[in-house]
Amino acid sequence: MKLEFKLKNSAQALKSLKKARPKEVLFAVDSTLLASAEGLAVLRLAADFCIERGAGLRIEGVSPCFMPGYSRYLLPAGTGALACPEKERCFLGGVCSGIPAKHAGIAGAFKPPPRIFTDLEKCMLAILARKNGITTAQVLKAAKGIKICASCSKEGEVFRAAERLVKFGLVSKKYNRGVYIWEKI
Amino acid sequence: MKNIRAQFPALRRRVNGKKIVYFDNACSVLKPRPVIKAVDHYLSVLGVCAGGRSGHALSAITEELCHEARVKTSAFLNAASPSEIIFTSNTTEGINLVAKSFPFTRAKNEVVVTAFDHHSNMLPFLEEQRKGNIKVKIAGLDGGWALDADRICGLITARTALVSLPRASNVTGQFFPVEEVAREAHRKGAVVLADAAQYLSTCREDVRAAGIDMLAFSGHKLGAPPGIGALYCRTALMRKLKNFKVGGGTVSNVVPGAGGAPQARYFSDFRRFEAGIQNYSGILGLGAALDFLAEAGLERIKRHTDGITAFCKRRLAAMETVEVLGPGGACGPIVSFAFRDKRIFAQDFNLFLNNELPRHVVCVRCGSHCAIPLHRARGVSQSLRLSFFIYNTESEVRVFLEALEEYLRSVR
Repeated sequence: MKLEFKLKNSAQALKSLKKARPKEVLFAVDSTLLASAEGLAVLRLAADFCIERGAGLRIEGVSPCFMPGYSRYLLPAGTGALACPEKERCFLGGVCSGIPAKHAGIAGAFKPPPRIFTDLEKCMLAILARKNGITTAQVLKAAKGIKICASCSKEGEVFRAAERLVKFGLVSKKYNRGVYIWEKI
Repeated sequence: MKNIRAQFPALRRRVNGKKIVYFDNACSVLKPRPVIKAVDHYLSVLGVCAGGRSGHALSAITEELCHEARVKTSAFLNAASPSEIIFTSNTTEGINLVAKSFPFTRAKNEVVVTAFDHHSNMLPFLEEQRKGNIKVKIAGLDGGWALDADRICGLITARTALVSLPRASNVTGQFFPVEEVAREAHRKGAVVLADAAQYLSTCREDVRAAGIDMLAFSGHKLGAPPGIGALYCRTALMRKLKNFKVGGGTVSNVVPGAGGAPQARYFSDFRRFEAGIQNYSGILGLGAALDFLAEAGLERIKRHTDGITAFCKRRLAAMETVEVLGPGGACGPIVSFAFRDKRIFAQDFNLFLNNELPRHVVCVRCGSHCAIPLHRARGVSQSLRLSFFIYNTESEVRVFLEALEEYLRSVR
């Protein structure tokens, strides 16, 4: 199923989605919706609906800065994409493929989202910057040597932070024979 | 069971299309509809303060509802009077209140705690010890998991002011002999504070019959919203406690004192400890949660969770790869275990339960459960804890056990 999300029809699109409950869905997002906070809120609701139900979700024409936390569902910007001038200072720069050509008219709206990493997220990134592609046990061992991690070496907080980074597309985790391998992308 | 599960909307939730199996009830139980309704009612049509501050109609209704909740809490513990109930934010705050306001003297300044204590029942007293105000004695383990009354009572002396111990362990679920300890403590002129955080969701409490002088608990472990709890304190003892937090609502008057400086005349009852605007939605939610427990029947909940706990323990005990923590015998709805093979990392299995099962997400607790001294004493670095409530089923435990077996197969 393909759903067009424009600003004026976004509520209707959400309604249709809830009614159809598709197993696979592609959101095609219009520039007018991207420029509106209200429209983006509806788009997030629609995405959450699909994610919660386990539906296969792909979102076309949206850069990660508009939907932080949904990176894994966003399709690359495609041919003719413009380079984003803010990419260097954006925390999502690593997973951004630029501004889709169809949004060239609102390129000024593309800017780093106001995201400040938590201490634990910084900790996880610092650990993986020292040594990438390490196991959960190795992450916690390394955490003991980092000041900001001093309190979390026994508990799950560091991995909840890591899961958030996975959600942003900044870190990946792979399961293999009882062990998770954590990697900075 | 279907009717019970229908009362908890969070159970209908899906994560990535997968069903939730919720086994982290010792941390916090899911919230039943009556609680959600009570909180919604307060926020929707009241939303104002209670107590003696405002005299308008909405405030009077809120005060009446809060008083009802206090009466229910008092009846729930079989306290002598609703005035013996101080609303707090949780067990931790209740115990901090006691640690900071207890009238220790030079002659009576010792506190006995146990190695089984949650950090919340140990750190507030250790902090007072650090300041030089008291001396803390810790009743240790016997080499195994047992901690009997003799071990605790052996530490009680004429200098003991307070014995603070859990009703049930948050790691192993085992119960502790509060009644016996209370008798010995009273004989030596000490009082007893019970941390009942892990006890009340399945067990009926009678503070007077058990000889408990003070008892702290959290509402969110009973179905109430987070941020509300209560401290039971015998009336005569409450009068002796020093001030903890003071401010609006704690005084009957502020009069000119010596030199004209304002001097507060504090209430002597629970109001002295409930400074400022309170968590009214939480208080009403707590009242609704206690009603829910009464309607569901604590004995019924206990029977149900005992069955699941025994099933889970039996199956885990039969597995060579894991060690079930605890002494066996009577316990609450908690099962903790550790992997015998030190190469297996509990945190990885926790992630596995959250990510790799085809149809379920299983929520358990992994770590040291705010009981690092206990884990250290037993040489366990991390454990996994499953804890049950009325909505859990044996088939959910089977989902978990199959996941564990699959995980262990994948590790080999």
